[in-house]
Amino acid sequence: MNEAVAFTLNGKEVRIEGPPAMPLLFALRGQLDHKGTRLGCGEGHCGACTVTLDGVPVTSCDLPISAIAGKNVGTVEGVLAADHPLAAALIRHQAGQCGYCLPGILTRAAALIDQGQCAEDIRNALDANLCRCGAHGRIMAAIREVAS
Amino acid sequence: MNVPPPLKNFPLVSQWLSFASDGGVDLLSGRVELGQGIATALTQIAADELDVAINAIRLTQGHTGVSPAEGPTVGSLSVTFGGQSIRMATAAARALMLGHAAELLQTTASDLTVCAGEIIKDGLETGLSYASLSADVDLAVPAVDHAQPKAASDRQIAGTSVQRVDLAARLTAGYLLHDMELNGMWHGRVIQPPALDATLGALPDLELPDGAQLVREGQFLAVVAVDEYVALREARRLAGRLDWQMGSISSVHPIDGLEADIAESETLYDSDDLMAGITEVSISLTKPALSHGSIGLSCAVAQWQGDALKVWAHSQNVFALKDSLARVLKHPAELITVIFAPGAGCYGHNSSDDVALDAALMARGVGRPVRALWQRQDEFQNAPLNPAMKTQMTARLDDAGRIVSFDARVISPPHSTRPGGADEPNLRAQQFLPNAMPMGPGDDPPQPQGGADRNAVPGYLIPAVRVVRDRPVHVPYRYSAMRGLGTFTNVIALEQLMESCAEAAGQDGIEYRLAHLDDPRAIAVIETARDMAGPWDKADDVGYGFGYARYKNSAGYLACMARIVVGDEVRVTDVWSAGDVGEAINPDGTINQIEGGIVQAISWALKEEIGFAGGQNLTQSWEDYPILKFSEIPRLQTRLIGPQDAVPLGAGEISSGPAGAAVVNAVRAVLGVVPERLPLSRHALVALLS
Repeated sequence: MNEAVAFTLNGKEVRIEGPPAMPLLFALRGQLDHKGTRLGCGEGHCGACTVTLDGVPVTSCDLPISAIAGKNVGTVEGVLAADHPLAAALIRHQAGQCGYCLPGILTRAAALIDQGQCAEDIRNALDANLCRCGAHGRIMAAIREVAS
Repeated sequence: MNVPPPLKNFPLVSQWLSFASDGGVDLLSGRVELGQGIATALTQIAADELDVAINAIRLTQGHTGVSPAEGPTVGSLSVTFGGQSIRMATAAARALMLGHAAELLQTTASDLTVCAGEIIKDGLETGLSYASLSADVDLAVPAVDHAQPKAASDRQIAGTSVQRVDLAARLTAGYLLHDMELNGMWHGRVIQPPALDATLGALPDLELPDGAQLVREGQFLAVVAVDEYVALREARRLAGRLDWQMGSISSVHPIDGLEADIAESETLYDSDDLMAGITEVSISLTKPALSHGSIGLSCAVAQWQGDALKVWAHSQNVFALKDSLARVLKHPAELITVIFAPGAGCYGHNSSDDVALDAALMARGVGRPVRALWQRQDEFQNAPLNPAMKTQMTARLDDAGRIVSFDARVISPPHSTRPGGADEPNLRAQQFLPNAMPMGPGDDPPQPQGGADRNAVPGYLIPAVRVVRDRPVHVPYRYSAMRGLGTFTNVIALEQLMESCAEAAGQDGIEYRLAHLDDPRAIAVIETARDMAGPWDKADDVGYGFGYARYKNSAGYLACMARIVVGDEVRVTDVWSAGDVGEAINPDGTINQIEGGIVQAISWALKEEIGFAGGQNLTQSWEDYPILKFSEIPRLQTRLIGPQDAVPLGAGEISSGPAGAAVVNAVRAVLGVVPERLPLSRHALVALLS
């Protein structure tokens, strides 16, 4: 049975319908056409689907839509629309190869930078985000440049 | 300049580029952007030869309808072959345009230059441009008759670290194949058998909800639905209710079984006289099967319009994929178009081709366009793996400690089962269709490149060398090409052997290597990496290790020094590297590739292993297959020291062997024992020390 869920997406009220167990990621990529958030494993292990929930980075591939009613969801689209300085820094540092992991990393790191976390704490938090091309060092260089 | 193979096959300028009336240049390449930065490098080469801005180049990569069929994007050859072809074609195009302009202006071409596509004489615009002449110049002429590429010292764009042309787009929605939408497109998930030789029993009754359909052809099973989540949920529900019978191959262990059933033994490289030495030194090293581990899942979109099939795939070789689809679907190849679209990072022959056949079958089954996506467990269990292998090496030393003879035995399945290779389509689902086609046994590229045996022939000066390759019969998983093929294992074994020989000879390991080399470029990278590391700090838990190789003994040179700290596990703190890739089109991109290879090699050496019980693959998720994480990444310092006026040698695969060797030699320096099995995980350290 489908359920209607209303929440805030990057500052705008939205309403979706779907099975209560459906992970948020599928709603974002489907009904809401926010495809910047990527499916990597579907099991909450790789971080490619990272979004923020009331400002806290979480994986969206294992977050049922029934759990987000009334909450604030932030995606990479929101980070880019706000011109977060980390996005430009990542490009300046050529901090990626395939970039599949980057929206998730950008979303998590930008949220932690905005909370005032230091680069070393962000580095440890990014253990939740896997990168297979080996661009970690460049990503951290970009984060160090932007984090206070 | 030698004529690179792609340009021999596609000799005409018009097969590589055309000028548009809007001032843009439409550039064609068969090489595809796998995350390695080749789109940027090819664009730089073309912009430089043509004297146009980077953003004037519009690059189409890997489209079977229009691109030169260059074959696979593999082997660190994209700049060496594909880039040099584009360099000659664009240089020829510039010469042809200037020749025509000179006629119109009644001058000589040597009096003309180009700036941002405008043709200039005596510092002034002539009113002519590539755009204005685009309709008047016939580019269907052989490039070699006209190409005189710029001298290295005249290049202004190639050789500089311009920003990646695609990285900003990769942060956003819509760039990747995964984000593609077609009108009426549904989403599909295949259901994979639990082992290579499992057979399906009776299909249970399964009621699918509205908007979902089962596609079955023989043992090929998929759920396709209008909604992606429903396709996934229903595919999982069905998979949980299926009854599979396992076959006998499921009892062969991929490592313990390697030496038990050798099918063929082949001597690949043999000097006449394997001299006896005074001292004999041996090394044995086993590496488990590894997963490609792309963060993105394999994806393809297929659309049938009447008899015409269009497939979008992140394949390494759209040309072979097209022919393979034709053979499996028994459909005329001329009715099939395969279009490359970017996916996640690709490090070799993964399941990107398999999912393209899946998508074509699903789209045919439901009569609509379908986007097919694999699941994470499929990527670990059903995609081709980098095969488990074992390398044994023996060196014999004379009374001065020099190596006088060497022999190696490499025990491994072949490292290539690519679609189209060895005349086999080799797409996963072909074996499940009603007219099942068995998967081919695969093959290795011959020496001097080699497959399993790549870099098993030492690059050191040794008078007598023999290399034997043994191939097991029963392998309980799919195996194929991953970044460097056998190089990783063979270079680690060889560089451990060099350390052991140096110890036996009572010499310093690096000096010992230098004494067995006479190539000044090899010597230069080794000395540079050693000097970059500086003096070693000494503590019981700290170790330094060194590794060097010239990839394929004919491509890029790389030397690495690694510093590690050993506690409960091995932690790599620093890697200093010096490389010589000849001309580097984008030095920062080249370093990015080299460093990515180093990180991946450390991850392979310390952490990665596809787990098996007998022949049953036990790896289901990232929890079963940890890779190197942010907090575990070392400081990396990398220098390119090659000459920019030398031939480009490629970069993507040159670092995995030397970096792996540096780490393993560092472990050996701390523990005082020679590791014989990878990975050097926490569990392996305990075993080594007991």
